[in-house]
Amino acid sequence: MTFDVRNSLSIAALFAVIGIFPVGCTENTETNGEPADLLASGSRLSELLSDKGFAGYARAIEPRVFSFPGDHGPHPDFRNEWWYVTGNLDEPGGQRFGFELTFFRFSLTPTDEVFIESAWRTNQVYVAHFAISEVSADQFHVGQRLSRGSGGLAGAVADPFRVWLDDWAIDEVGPAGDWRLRAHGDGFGLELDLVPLKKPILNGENGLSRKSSEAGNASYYYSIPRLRSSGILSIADQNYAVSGLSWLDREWSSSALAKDQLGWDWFALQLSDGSELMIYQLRRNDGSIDVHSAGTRIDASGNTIHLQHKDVSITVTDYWDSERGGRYPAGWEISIPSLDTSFEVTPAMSDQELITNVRYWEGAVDVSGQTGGQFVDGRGYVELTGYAEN
Amino acid sequence: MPALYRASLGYLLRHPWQLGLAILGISIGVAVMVAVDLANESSRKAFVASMDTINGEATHQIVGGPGGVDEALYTELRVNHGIRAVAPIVTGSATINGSPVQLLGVDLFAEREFRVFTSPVQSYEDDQSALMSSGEFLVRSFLTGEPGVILPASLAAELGLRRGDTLELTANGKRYSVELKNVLIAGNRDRLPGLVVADIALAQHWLESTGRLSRIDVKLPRDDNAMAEQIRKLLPQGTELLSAAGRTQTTAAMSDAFMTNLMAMSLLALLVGIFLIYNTVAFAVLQRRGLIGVLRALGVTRAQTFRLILLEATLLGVAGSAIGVAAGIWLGEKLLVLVARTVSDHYFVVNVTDVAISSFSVAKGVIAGLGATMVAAAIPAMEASSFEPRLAMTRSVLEKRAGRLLPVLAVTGAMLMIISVALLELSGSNLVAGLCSLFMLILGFAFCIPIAVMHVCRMAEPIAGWLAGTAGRLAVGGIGKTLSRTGVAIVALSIAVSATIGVSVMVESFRGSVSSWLNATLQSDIYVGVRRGSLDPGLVNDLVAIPGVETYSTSRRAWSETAEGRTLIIALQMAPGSYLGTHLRNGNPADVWTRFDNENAVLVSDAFAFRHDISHGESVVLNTKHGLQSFDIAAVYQSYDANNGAIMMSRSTYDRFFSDSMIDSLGLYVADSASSSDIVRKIREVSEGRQEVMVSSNERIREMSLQIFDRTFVITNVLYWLAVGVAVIGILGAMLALQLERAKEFGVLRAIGMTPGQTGILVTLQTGFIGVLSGLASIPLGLVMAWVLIAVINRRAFGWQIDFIVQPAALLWAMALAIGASLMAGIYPAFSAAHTRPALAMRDE
Repeated sequence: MTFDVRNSLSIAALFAVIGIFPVGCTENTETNGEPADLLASGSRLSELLSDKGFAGYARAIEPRVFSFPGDHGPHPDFRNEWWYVTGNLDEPGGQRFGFELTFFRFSLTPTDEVFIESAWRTNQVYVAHFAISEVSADQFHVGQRLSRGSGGLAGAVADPFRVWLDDWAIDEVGPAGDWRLRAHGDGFGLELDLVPLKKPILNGENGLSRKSSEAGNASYYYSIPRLRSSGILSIADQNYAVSGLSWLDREWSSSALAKDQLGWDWFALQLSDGSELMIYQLRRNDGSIDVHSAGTRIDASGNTIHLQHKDVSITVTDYWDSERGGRYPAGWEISIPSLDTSFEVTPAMSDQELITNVRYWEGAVDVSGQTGGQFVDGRGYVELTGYAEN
Repeated sequence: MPALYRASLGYLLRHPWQLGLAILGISIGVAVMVAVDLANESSRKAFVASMDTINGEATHQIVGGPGGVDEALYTELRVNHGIRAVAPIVTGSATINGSPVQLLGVDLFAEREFRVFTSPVQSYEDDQSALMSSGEFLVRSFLTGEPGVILPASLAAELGLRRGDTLELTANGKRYSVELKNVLIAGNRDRLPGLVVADIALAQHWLESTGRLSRIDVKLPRDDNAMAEQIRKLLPQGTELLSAAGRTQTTAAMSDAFMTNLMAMSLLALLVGIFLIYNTVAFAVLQRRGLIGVLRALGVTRAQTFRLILLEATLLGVAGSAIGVAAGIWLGEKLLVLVARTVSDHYFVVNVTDVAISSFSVAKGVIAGLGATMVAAAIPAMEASSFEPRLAMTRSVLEKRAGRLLPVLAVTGAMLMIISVALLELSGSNLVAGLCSLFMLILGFAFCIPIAVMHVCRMAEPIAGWLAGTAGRLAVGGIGKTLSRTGVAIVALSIAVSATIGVSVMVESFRGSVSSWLNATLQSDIYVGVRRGSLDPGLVNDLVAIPGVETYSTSRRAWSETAEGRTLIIALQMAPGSYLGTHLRNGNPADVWTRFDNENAVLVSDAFAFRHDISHGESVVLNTKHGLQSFDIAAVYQSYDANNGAIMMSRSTYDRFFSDSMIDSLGLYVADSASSSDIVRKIREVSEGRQEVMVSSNERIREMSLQIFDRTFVITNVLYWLAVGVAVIGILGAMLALQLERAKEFGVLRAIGMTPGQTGILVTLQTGFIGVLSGLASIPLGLVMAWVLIAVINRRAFGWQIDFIVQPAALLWAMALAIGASLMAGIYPAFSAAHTRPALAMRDE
């Protein structure tokens, strides 16, 4: 996924915070307006994302040297950043689940030069989304949290690694540097141990993911494409022992969404031959695909191949209509001729639409196809934005 | 309309003065009652409504001692225990461009669950771009950049401020230049008065409470005791989870006694009004004795007569009540200002400008007005219906009948007084019972007045004759012989005047006690404090080091709160030798102060001891940072500065048990060799740029304290003046009635040679003597009333111990008031009597 697109999500997510304001202008005690109200509340995305909004922030201009665990931590000089974990899980009884836990960080200002004697003072804001796809029951569960990034309420640290908002967290545990993920929504929760099976891989040009030809319109982007995952997933009062694979995406930037971009489709596929594929497509207002769309192929031993827009062809084979409005793609044929690879991608269930401050579809998918004439299959996660009015 | 009613209506319309005065009397009585009720209720409702708005959706609050709650607790609840329905609050006093406000520091991200109104919205849409109104802009400007605040639209408009303007905020004696970030539209003017919202970080910074929260708001599902218990288990010692509504109620209840007393005062006006109505109705009956006699002779039954009179009274009552309610609403708005100010001075801050007209208050007023009229009219109506047709024609029969009634009345009065005393003795510390017995005492005394008047008149008649000739004898004798009318007027005036004596003696005694207490307590030469804030401990250290400062004392007022309510703690560091300034009511003076300084012993104020029925040798339990802690009471001390009582403890004890280093007031003792003005100058130098301090001499503090004291009793004065007003109307009505009735008599007097001047003098002498009689009657009643107010009512209501001080001037003043009031009421009747035309008056003869 490219940062500018995620960036639009992030800004939009911030409106959530924001959404509370205009809704509160009457004496109506209904504070939790529909997401549609929140975004309709007078924000102009294009104006917010105009370049002047980014003066003073660090920019992703050149490739940099990544170092770990340092880069697992926050980069507050940049305007946005996120920790994105998605995964597919099974329990011994045969039930299947998908999950997403995302922490977004925003800097409201490049620096804070006013000294205020209080631990609460901050220019950092965190937003988190948590979703579980209960595939067997065709149920989707979503929760959202917002917090200032101070006072120990939300934040991120590199070593030992920790990112959290309230009691939702990913923590480094034990000497081996494994991670534990914890989140509980209303009536659903997840506690998961995550063991990286691959080292972090750098997307784009050594981790610099360019958005356009203009310098600085880019993000720093790495992934850990395969994490062995096991733990307890709970729905209502029912606990399930679950295990499976997860994917971590990390990205930070200060740049903006192009005015002519409508949304994006992002694929993160984990295949049975030990390889992974990450592809994102930026969709423009005119229906065409932006040339800065790209991807990464990771082989079983962790070597990567950068994929450009021209390398990948994606055809939508099916659609799903959200009862809340909007029509999402719901089946794809992806082919990468240069790698002699083609797949069919199918959602594990239709309704995996997140109703948070922004509306988007993010869900578990199944993959099957061939690479080099060999049958492969697998699972993954797909994110679709810009298909529904907020 | 039946002939009967036409006759009645005709009579009433021919006597518009009588009619008007009766209606006016009822109106004032009802108006005062409705006004006080509305003012009380409006203050109370405004307070509860503003608390409800500020509390928002919070069902509970986590509160700590004087230093508030550690902010780490909030993070722990959220992050370690996943409790989300909590919001941190840092709140305190501040000023915006000089206007006092309450600063409410919030975390926007936690606010969604709690308050709508903390969401800033723009009100001035004309000049703002979409970007400026976007949510991101609002969040960014609220959290970061130049410090700023959000004001309610009404306050912004009042101060003439617009978004983006710079304003001056002072908190804890420090000035800050802040930006008006936004304007709140939500919430009406009365509900969010003087409320300023800022980010919690800024509030901590300005209020200098880094690391502390004023409270944590909690939203629990209805009746979720399990959740409440879970939270309670997580709370460190010294913090408590309390019901938000319960806290509001306990705070509101602090002013109950004050409001009950006001209500009682208002009933006094109604009581005086009852006599007035009685007078009017009784007179209307007496005057129509001829007509009634004729009607009865024509076959009108007793029941019809009774109904007729009662119907007349009801009409009067309805008209009077209606006017009274309207006037009461008007008067209520005036009183509201006084009530709200007193409540804010002494109990809790209430901002209210408009009375909330409640149908309940109005209904109470109407019922009281009608009820009073019926009670007052019942006796004359019974009298009218009991007339024998033949006898009804005879004036002397009536007066004889009234004369026979006097001893019965007197005995009833005496019994009432005995019951009243018994009730006082038996009712313990019940305030309402105390007020009831006070009313019974007044009523009982009133019933004894007519018989006393009769005897006094008999005795005084010859003396008056000797002093003022025939006119004097006629004037004085006339009162005794027309008691059925004059008696009631005298009673009404006596009650009103005695109320002025009672209240003014009580207030003067109180003031005297407070004043001598202030003299004893205020021992330092110079006092230093901060407007709506506390002194920095660091600044205090530098101030006491100023050369010429011999020694010093400090005080801190703070609240300790449990589910039972809040307790005021006064933490004192006393200057050596200044203990004598505190007057101990009991305890062993030899060791009280040693224990106060070195052990965990405390003193409790009079009011506290009374309210909690506790004394030295017992102990009080406070919620401290070490949990619930018992403190021995070494003594009870005299104090008038805390209406609900206070616990005094030494600063060292306080520091051991509470996390709070602030000081509210610093008292400096100036060395003999030093000059106070030099030291004041030095104080200004030292505090310059650090904190804006208020420096006052002890005279000034005393003056200011007495000013607040006087302010408190303004409303009391207003109320008894209204009662006097009703009484003056009563006298006027009675004199007019007498004069009408005696028109023939005056005609005869004129015919046998009395000049118009002499006739006028006769009437003036008579009203003057009514004034003298009322004044004389009011003195014992007033003194007894004062004693009951001081020893019973104030004690039961507030726990104050007041020394009974009677200034002779107060009694002379009451006498003058009684005579002046009745002379004033007599001007028109005297004028009218003087202009009687003998031929016309005697035409019937």
